[in-house]
Amino acid sequence: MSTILDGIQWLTDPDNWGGRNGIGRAVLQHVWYSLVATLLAVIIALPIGLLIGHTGRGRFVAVNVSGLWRAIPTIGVVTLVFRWQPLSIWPVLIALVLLAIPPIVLNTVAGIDSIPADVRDAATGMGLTGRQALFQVEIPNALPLILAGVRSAANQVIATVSVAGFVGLGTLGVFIFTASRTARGDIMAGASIAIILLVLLVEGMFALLQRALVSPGVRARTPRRLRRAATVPTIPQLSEMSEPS
Amino acid sequence: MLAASPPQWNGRQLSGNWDVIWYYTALHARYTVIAVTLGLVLAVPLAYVATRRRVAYPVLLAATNIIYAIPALTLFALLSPWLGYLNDKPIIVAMALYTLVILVRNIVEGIRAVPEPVIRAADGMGYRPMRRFVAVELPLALPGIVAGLRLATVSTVSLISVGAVIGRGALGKMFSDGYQRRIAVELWSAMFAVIALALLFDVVIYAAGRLATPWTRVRSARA
Repeated sequence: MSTILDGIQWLTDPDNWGGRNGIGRAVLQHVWYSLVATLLAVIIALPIGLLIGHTGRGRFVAVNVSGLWRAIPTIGVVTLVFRWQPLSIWPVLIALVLLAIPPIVLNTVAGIDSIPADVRDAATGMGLTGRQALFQVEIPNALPLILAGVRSAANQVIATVSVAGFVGLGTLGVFIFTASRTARGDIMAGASIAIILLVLLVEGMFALLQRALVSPGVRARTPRRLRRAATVPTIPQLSEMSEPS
Repeated sequence: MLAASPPQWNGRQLSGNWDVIWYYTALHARYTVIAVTLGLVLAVPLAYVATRRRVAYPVLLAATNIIYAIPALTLFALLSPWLGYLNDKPIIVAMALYTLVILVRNIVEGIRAVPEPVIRAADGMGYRPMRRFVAVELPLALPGIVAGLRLATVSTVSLISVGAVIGRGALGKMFSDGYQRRIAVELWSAMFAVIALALLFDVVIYAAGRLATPWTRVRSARA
C-alpha cells in the first residue's frame, strides 16, 4: 500500500509538474497524441464499418481479419516503423491508429446489425433511398454501439500511447520506462495512477457524449446488454471486444 | 526464472539466430500457458460463486472490468514493487488478471444458458450442487468457455510483448533489443513469432474445443 501512497505523493508534488520533463507536459502529450490517433482511426474505420453494415458484404472477412489483427503486437509496430521514421511521432500514431480501427469497425457493423428488421423494413416502406436509410435510420439507431466502439478504441489508445515513452517521445510512459530502469516504485505507481485517471476521465466524457448524441427513443430501446457491448462482452459479441494495451 | 543466460542476437542477419527466436518463442509460449492456466484456475471458482450467489456476479463483473481498464504497462508497473523489477512475474500475473474479465463472464453466461430441464434432471438423479457444477454445468458451458479461452489467449500472446517497454516480456525482449541495437531482422522475427504463436494457440484451442464438444456439431452447424 505504501507504494501507492508514495505514488500519490510523487504525483501531487508541484515540483514534479513543471518544466520540460515535468508531469504537466507529459499529460498534454499523452492527451494530444491520443486525440489525434483516435480521430484518425474514426475517420478511417467509421466509413468501412458503415459500408460493411449497410451492404452486409464483407462481414465474414471483417470479423476474421480483426481476430488476426488482435495478435499484432503494438510495440512491434512502433519499433519497426520507428526504424524508417526515427524521432518522429508517426510510428506511434500509425501503431495506435492500427490498434484503434478494429473495435470501431466491428462495433459499427454490430450496431447496424442490431437494428430490428421491422425498423429497416419501415425505412424501406417509407420509400427512403439507401443513403437516406443509412443516415436517417441506421446511423442514429446504431449510435450507442458506434460510440461504444469509439470509446473502447479511445481507451486502448490512451493506455497504449505510453509506448511513445519507449522511443523517447514523451507521454506519461516516459516515467514508467525510466522508473523501471531505476526501480522507482513511487514514480511507477504515480504515473500509473495518472494514466488510470485519464482512462476514467475518457470513460466519463463518453458517457456524457452518449447522453448528448443518442436520441432518447433509441436510448430507451437499446438493451443495457448491447449498450455496454464493447467493454463487457457477451458470448456472441466476443469478437467486438478490444483488449487492454 | 531460467538459469542459463538467454542467447543473444549475433550480427544483422537471420541465419545463425534461430536459437534466439526459438528460445524466446518457447519462453513466450510458456508464459502464455502459465498466465491463461492461472486465469482459468481463478475463474472457475469465481464463476461457481457467481452462479450460486446472485449478488456476487455484478460485483465480480465490476471488479474484473476495473482491472481490465488498467493499461497493461501500468498494471506491470503497479505489480512490480510487489513481485520484483527484474523478473517476469508481474507480466504473468497481470495477464492472468486480464483473462478473468473474459473467462468469468464466459463461464457464467455459458452455465446460465444450460437448459433448466437438464439441471432438474441432474438434481433428480441425486447430483449434489458441486458435482452438478463440475459434471453437468461446466461441460455444457464448454463452447462459451472455449470461445473465451481463444480470445484470452490471443490477447495474452500479443500483450506479453508490451513488456518490452520495461525490458521484459519474452519476445518483447527481442523488440527492445532489436530497437536498441537497430537490428531490423530481429524486430521482424519477433513480430512474426508473436503472430504465429497467437494463431497456433488459437487453432489448437479451437481444435481441442471441437474435440471436447462433439454434441455441438450434431445439434447445429454453428460450432
